[in-house]
Amino acid sequence: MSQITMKEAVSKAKLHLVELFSDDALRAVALEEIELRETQSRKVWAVTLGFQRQQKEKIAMPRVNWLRDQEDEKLTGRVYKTLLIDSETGNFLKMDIRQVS
Amino acid sequence: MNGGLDQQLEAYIRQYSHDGVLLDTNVLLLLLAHRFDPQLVGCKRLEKYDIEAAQLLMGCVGQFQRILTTASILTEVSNLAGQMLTGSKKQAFYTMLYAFFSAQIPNDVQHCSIHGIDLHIHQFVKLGYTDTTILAVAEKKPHFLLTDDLDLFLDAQQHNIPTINFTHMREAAQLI
Repeated sequence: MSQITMKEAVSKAKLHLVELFSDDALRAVALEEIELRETQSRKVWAVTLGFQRQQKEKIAMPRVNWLRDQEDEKLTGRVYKTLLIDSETGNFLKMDIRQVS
Repeated sequence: MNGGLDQQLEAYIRQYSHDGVLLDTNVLLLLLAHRFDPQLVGCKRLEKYDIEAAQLLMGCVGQFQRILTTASILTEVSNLAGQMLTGSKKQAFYTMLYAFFSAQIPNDVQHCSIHGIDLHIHQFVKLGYTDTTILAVAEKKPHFLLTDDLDLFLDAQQHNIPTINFTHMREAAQLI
């Protein structure tokens, strides 16, 4: 049985998201998906949040000769991140890019 | 619920209440488990839900004349329920679920066949068989889809399938 509730996990994830993007005013933040994942050693709440960024999202492009050492920068529209929260301690573990099509 | 989502849901109810609502596997499992035994909500495969979520779902589904489903959704529901339950409780749940598989299905349930529908390979590779059939069935008629699977929801949106993310409903109803 998890020690923090799903609601607490979502609340913590939102706080950490805002903190991690403190240099950027995030817009239209919404909870998109939540699941309780079981790893070998622990259970974690995987909280996926979607939002619009004010700043441009940097995308690392595949390295090909004529693009070597270049970096493309574009607006990606809505961004999705999954924040992992330890279900026992409530600690924030990490944030992953949530790949969507 | 917030204004935009509320209005969107009301519009879908007006348009699709007679046709029905196509429920994704997790959402249908929540509905059936809550109907069978509300104490199952919040346990095992339903850890991410609570009673309030189940009640919100029941209230929404109650606006539609029937639940639409497919053989693959029911198979997944059956398999997941099998992982949740044991003994006599499992048998009792399967007895309830049998009605969905039998020739005399309840009046408020309708099977959607994928017979004759082409499945898109890129969806199959990305989402797997069940979600691909859900998209194919929902796109053809179209049917209103309620899901809390983000990939399925976004793909449905891309194909102009009428859909709502149940997680958005929960957040908008201030349940999360």
